Amino acid sequence: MASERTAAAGGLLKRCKQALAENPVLLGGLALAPVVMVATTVKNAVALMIVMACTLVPVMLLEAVLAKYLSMVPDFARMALCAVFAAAMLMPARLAVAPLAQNIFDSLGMYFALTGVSALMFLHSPGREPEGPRFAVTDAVCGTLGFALAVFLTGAVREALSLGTFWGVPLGFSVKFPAMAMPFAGFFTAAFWAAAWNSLSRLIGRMGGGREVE
Amino acid sequence: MTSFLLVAAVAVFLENALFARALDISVLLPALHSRRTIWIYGLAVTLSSSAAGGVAWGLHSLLQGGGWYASYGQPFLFLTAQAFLYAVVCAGLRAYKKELYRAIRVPLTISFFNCAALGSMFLAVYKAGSFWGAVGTGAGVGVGFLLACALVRVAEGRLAICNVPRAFQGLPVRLMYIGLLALATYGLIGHQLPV
Repeated sequence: MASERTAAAGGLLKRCKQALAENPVLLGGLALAPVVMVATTVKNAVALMIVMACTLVPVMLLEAVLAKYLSMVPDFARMALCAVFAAAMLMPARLAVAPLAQNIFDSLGMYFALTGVSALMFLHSPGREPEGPRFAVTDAVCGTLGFALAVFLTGAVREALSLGTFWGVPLGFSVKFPAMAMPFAGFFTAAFWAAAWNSLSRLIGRMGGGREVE
Repeated sequence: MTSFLLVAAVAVFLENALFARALDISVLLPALHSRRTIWIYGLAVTLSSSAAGGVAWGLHSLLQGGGWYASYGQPFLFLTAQAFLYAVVCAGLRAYKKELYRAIRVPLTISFFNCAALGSMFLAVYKAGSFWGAVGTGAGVGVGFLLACALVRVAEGRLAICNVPRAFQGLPVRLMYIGLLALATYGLIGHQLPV
């Protein structure tokens, strides 16, 4: 019994390590739209993290539960149910995000809702196989952490370079690059972080814990 | 009809959903697999976005004005409508064209539940001005996606024979290329870089 538990914990740990090394945003290209468009400040980044956490974890859990207990229902109907559930989860997400800043929804615009729908893309990420609710929660938490990391790194760099601040606190830079807040700069910043993550992932792969990319 | 064409042309060229709003970036990656997948995903995104635009306009016309609708209801209703549309299309295909449904099941799902389809609903409501304008916005998002796919696909062939640093191979170099095209589009429209 104890050895079974240790094996299960080891499996979960390995899965977590793999999921983080194979960052779904920086390596898989999932949920890139909000990262590129509205991760221009750390506050926006934190708001996007909250929205993703509020939608991805419950949606993946629901999908796993439906797949396990309602397998006779056609898969498109289960997917539609997950979408409606994701839409409903945007309401608590809105309540959670509101205290961050007065104009936070003006900054996020339609990307607030689009972050919620991005969570549905995770259900179709390549190589993902539904393996029960426990693994679904692990996958969802790791996916959220991967997204959080990508959006935070992008938001922090763009805020520092475009406004010279971090969470609104001046950093004392004498030069600023306001163009860093533009969409094309979002593509460039995401590209540089993706390249850095590519290298890190290879390093982890060589150490024996993750993937080996060719 | 003029409104449809005008809005669609703006959505394809001037405010391309990928280069100006990064809307369909996550669909682009599976779509780039081959020329066939580009057409399948392109058509699926065009149909889903056009339908979504029309539905969004209808919902907005019926419900606009309420405080709950503006803050909480709109995203919920739009995504629920999208799920309903998806279920109807899938059920229809499953009943009458089972082989086709099996072949396009995954592209169909990805085309309905991505930023392009939901994004075109918001754009249709805020930018279109009429029902046909809303449908045109959706169609423009889809055709713009096909155009963007073609442009990125051309670059893929050229990048394959370049000596790209190992860390930048794959997604990073694609993002750099899309970023350059986004910058070019930004300049083409007449925007100036902020200083």
